[in-house]
Formats: sequence, C-alpha cells, structure tokens
Amino acid sequence: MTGDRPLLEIRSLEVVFPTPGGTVRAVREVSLSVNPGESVGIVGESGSGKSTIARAALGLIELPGRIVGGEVLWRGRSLSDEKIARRYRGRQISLVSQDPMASLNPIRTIGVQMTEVMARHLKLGKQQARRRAGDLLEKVGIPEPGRRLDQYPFELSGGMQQRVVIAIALSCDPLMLIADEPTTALDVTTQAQILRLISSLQKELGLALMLITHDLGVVAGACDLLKVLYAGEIVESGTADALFHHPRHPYTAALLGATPRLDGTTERLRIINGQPPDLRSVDIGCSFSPRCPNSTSYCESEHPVLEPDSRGGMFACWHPQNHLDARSVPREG
Amino acid sequence: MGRYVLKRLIQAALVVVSVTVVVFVVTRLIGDPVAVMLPLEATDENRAVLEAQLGLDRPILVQLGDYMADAVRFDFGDSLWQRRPAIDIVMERLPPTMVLVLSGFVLGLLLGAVIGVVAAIRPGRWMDRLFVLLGVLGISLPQFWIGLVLIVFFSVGLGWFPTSGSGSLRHLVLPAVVLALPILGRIALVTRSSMIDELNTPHVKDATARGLSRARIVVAHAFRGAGIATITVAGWELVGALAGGAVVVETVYAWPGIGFTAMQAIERHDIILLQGVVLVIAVIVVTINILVDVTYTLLDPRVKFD
Repeated sequence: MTGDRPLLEIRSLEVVFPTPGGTVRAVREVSLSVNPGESVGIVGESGSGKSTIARAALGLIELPGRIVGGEVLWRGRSLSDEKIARRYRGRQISLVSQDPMASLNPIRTIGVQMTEVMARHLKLGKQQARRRAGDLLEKVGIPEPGRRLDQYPFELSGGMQQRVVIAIALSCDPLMLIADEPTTALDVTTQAQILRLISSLQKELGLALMLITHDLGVVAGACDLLKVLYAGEIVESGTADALFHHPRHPYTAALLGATPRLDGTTERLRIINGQPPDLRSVDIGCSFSPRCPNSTSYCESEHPVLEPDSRGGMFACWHPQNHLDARSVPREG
Repeated sequence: MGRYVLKRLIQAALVVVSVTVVVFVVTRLIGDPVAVMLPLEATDENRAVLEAQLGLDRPILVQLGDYMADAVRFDFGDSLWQRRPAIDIVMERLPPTMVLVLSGFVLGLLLGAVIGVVAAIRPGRWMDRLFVLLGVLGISLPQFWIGLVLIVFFSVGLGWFPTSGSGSLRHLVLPAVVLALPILGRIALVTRSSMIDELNTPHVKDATARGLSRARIVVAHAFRGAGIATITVAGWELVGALAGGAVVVETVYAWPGIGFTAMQAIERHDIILLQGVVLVIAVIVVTINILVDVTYTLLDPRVKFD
C-alpha cells in the first residue's frame, strides 16, 4: 500500500433525494479525500448531508437517493459498482453508526453477529471466528468477553453495545473506519469513553478515520483535519488546529461560539439565528447568507466557492472572519 | 417454563369448559332433536316418551350437570344418530381432518412465506403487485365458491382429480388447495409487510454496511425478525383452518373428517355428537395457542415466560 495515495476520494459528489415537494439536493459538489492513517472530522448540523456522505463512502446511497454527479473512489476504484463496493464494505471500510441498539440485530447473539462478518470476509471457521471475536471484545474493553458472545444486545448497556459495534467494525482489519455520530445515542460519561476508545484504536491500528458529528467538541481531540458542512456543501476545511483557533467562515465561527466550554469561560452560549435553508430550492448566492452576520447583498447573488487560504485550508466565503486575506470583493457601500 | 405451561394449561381447561357450557346451552335452546328423530306423524305422546328416554325433559341445568359429571370420566354421551359413543365417532373422523388441515396449512404457510419474502425484496415492482393481488384474492374469495369452481374446472372439465371423497393423494389435492388459499393470502401479506419493515431497520442497513451478502441479510436478519409476525398469524390460521375452513371444505368435497361430521350432526340435530366435535376442536385449538406462545420465546430472546 502506498502511503501517499488517498484511500477514499470523493470528487464533486452530488446526491439528490426526489421528494413530493421537490428534489432535495442533500450533497452538493463535495470533494474530500482521506489518506491512510489520517483522521478527518466532518462537522455539520442536522440535514447538512453528513450522513449521506458517510453512506456514499460505503457505496450505499439508497433509493430514492441518487448520485447525480461526481464519484466516490476507494483506492482508485469506483464504489458505484455494487460488486466492488460489497467486497470492501466491512472488509476495508467499516462503519460505526449512531445508535448501537439499532445497529445490532436485537434477536441474534453478539457472537453470531460478530462471526458472520468474519466468516464472510476472512473465511474463518466457526471456532476461529469465535476465538477472534472474544479477543476483539477484550480489545474494545468489554469484560468477560467469552460470556458476552452468547448474550443478546439488549442484555448490554448502550456503551457496551457501541463497543461491540466497534469490535465488529474492526474485526476484518479495515483500513478505514467511518464513525457516523458514534456517541450521539450515548450518555455523556460514556461518550467520552467511546471517543477515547475510537481515537486510541485509530492510532494503535494506524486506521484512517472519518468522524462525522454535529458536535465540535467531539472532533476536537480526535481529528487532524476538519471539514465543515453547511446545507450539503463544504464551507470550510483545514487542520483542526487552524479551524478552532482561526475560523475563517462565519458559520464555523458561529458553531464554535455555540459550543459549550469547560475552561471557565462564563460567556453565554451563542446561538445561530435562523434555520438551515430548504434544500429543495436552488439558491444562487451563499446558502449561509440569510443567517450570516457578515452577509451583504453580494452574498445573496453570488455563490462563493472553496478557495485555498494562507493557512493551507480552504473556505467558501466572500466576507470571512479575521480579514487576514480578504478577497477582492467590493463591500456594499 | 414449567410453571408457565402449568398456568397456561389451567387457563386452557377453563376455556374448554366454557366452550362446552356455551355449546351445551345453545344447542338445547335452538334445536329439537326429537322432532328430527321421529316421523312427521308421531303423536305428542311418542315425543314425550323419546324426550324422557334421552333425558331432554329435565331442566337444562340438571342436564348440564349430568353431562359434566360424565365428561369428567371421559364419557361424552352417545350420538343420537349413530347410537354409539360420540367421542368414538369424532376420533375416527379426526385423522382425515388432520391430514387435510395439515397439508393445506403447510402448503399455505410455505408458499405464503416465500411469496411474502420475494414480494418484499422489491416492493412496488410488478412481481410484488402480482403477489399482493394473489394474496388479496386468496383472502377474499369464499372457500365454498373456489371449491366448486375447482371441481368444475379440474374434476369435471379436465378430469384430473376426483370430484369428492377421500382415499388417495389425488382426492387430497383440491380440498388441500382450497384450504390453503386464504392461509397463503394472509401469511403472504403479513410476511410481506413485516419483511418490508425489517429490511428498512437500521440493523439491516448496518448489516449491509458490514458487507454481508444480500441472501444472508434477507434470510438470517430480516426474515428472522419478520418470522415472528408470520408465526403469530400461522397460529391463527391453523386454528381457523381447523375450526372453520375444514367444515366448509370437507362439506364441499365430502371429505370424511370432523368438519363434515359437524355438518351431519347439525343437519340431524345430533347435539351430543356436535358437542363432541366442538370439544375436540376446542382442545386442539387451545393446545395450538400454547405451542405458538412457546415458539415466540424460541424465536425472540426478548420474550420471557411469565
């Protein structure tokens, strides 16, 4: 495996969902890549298209959703070919989804659900797969792994269930883990444990990680690179460090302002006024302009595109925060 | 589990006793066996003698008490028509009914489940629509009518199967098919809708994300969940086929089972025989219900005995 070639490459992806009220453009012109061992966080609010991107990365856009533009490549091969995608899913790209209770089949034992994946991809026999399943449970910090194999999901707590889901995801030595809101369904103390587990496993196993969340706090320690998604588009990307300390897009700045801090700042949490746009209507200007403190009438008529900035990141905004490299756009007089 | 089954058995016994009482009272209120047994020109005196002989002149509560007292010793009275123990007649007629009901049930259950699963894989497509139509027809067409149509077409027209009677596999085909149709219809529709629900659950989608084969997802994940609904309906269908379908189908095809016997008993106002038929059916029905509930706990680990 070459170190520099990206594992996952999403190029100008466009995903639409036809609905009775009109076509929803869930993902618009999204491009991103994930290199081996790299951790990429995708941050956005509900409906911003982040889960659709996760599904697309597995080649799993379901009807009525449709990819109408761009492509998703896994190590150079298109995942729109179902035969190819099926070979990689669970084998090289694994998913940890939001609600572990919903992710596991309620009426099959944990052992069966772990071993069936290994039987499929690694062609392991029953005994071998069971032994490996026990080892994996131990690795993700589940006590008495031997006994757990014969238990059903409902006999475990939410945090333990999510550990099982993670163990299944790791069972075939994948190259990349997609974690789609992996902590949202868990209580706060468990959230931190699960995040630490994902992070430490990612580093230990050298996995690529795509961590999808609405919570900037979640990606803070876990990701090297961040992509901020708004209304189906990436509006800013860069290193986690740069985005946290010098956000350029007003949306990123607003998200940071809306994140509670534990470092003694007693400032009132700021909210982002307004609603995300209706993705059925085709907007001409910047999608964020109706909610943006910096917006001008220029923003409403001209669509900003992602352009590189001086920090090595990218952002799509006519009137960015911290006017270090403001673009040559005439301000309204 | 032992305690649970014991509790269910006691409940079952109560159900059987209640059914017996209701049937006993109703049959004695709505019909007059004496009028059927005697010729038209019989005098009132003749009637009184026969009534007294059969014990029908006594108050109904006394009759019921007698019946129950005998029933405890497994004496369910003599058939008025055949003049021998009613229970013997029922037991003779039970095996043909079992053969018919089980063939129809298994046929309907298997085909219905397969059709339901296949329809659910691609809902809305032509195959799904065809199967749904088939299911609705199976449920809604009256069995006596389908029975007659099949006789006209396959027996009279093509001569493939005998028109009625029993004794060979060829005799079994038409009545079993007629019995199977509504079972097939309901099993197919219920299996289809619960399969569609299951296939859309997050755990099935995540199983797909784990790269499992479509066949494994459909069979080992979705159908295993959907099968719980199928089993529930299957229990009802077996009961319905035994207690209802068999009467209609056996009468249309002169199949010598307990359904046919029930019709004969009703025609002849043989209340003792009818009572015997109802009792045996009631015992089988409550047994099936207990078996279905025990099956749940095997299929779904979340269901516990209590």
